Amino acid sequence: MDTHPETALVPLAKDELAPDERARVDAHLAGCEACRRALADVRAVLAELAAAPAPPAPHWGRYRAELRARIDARARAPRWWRRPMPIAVSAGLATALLLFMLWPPAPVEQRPVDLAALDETAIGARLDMLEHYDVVERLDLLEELDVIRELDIVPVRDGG
Amino acid sequence: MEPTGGTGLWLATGDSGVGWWTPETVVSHERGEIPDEALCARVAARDEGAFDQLVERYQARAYRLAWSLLRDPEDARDVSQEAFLRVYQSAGRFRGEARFSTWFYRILVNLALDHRRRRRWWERAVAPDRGEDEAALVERQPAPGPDPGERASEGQTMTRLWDAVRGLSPQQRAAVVLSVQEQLSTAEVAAVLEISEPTVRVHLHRAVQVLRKRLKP
Repeated sequence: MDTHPETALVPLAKDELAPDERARVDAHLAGCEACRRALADVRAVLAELAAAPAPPAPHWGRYRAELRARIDARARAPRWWRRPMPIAVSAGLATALLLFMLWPPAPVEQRPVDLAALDETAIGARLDMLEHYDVVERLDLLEELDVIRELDIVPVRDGG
Repeated sequence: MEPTGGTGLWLATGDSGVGWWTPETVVSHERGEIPDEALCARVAARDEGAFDQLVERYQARAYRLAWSLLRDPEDARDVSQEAFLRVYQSAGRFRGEARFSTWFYRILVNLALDHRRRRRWWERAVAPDRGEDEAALVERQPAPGPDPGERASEGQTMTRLWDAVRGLSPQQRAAVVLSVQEQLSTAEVAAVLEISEPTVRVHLHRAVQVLRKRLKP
């Protein structure tokens, strides 16, 4: 239970608490001035709210007639999937479809070719060239790229 | 779920059941009236007379509850009638697991809260510079007299209090109206709002905290 049983005060004021909880709350109230003041305020608020005047009543005969008319109208109304689509909605959809079909497609973005990446790919595909490492280590990779690409036909001389 | 007493009448309409009608529900209607749950079963079978009886039984409560939540007679009439319409359309779905009044209040409160949300959205869209207080100005009573020492009249106190109720959150407001005005127990309020009893207690506690300040001079 709360240190102060704040949330039990409204049920207490309405006499809704179970006997055991009522006993615990009463025991707390006996020793807590703040909660006794809070309970008094709760009772005052509830009394004011309960004394609120009722709203002016409608003419019940007319009320029931309106209700009956509402029920009859709802029974006559077609289901939403059978309702004719409003002209404005139809026109809007048709326009949107037409624009979609006629709108020029966005140009495909031409990314600049990453030559370095291509080179790495080409080189990676030719890792077998490490068998001829003595040739490779003498090459400037960037300047002799053509040589690397054609490595399999470059004659290897013994001794360098 | 069968009644614990072992005796009861299963109400059925077509292929769908409505629920158990036990002697307790008969006794609860002291003047020998047909229980609400039985009337609802007849409404599901398109008994127009049963529907009229239900409406007559609940029209005042429904209108008062809607008015307390919305504070507008036109909206109260509209929402309460819509709640009856929903009962008419979906009476066959009432399973009897709760009392009819709980089921009906749940429909009505949900409609009222939805209506209020839509209206607040519209007010903000139409007059976005106006706060909630200004938007509700037409419903307010005249302000107290200019003399700050003047004792507020009882009517002005009540107006201040109900203005404060309108400023509560939807759930707090519904809990207060159902608990205080409709005299529902915490358990019944919890069933209507489909929340736990401790949550109802918290809503009521917080609402009363706000309202207490309005009562103090």
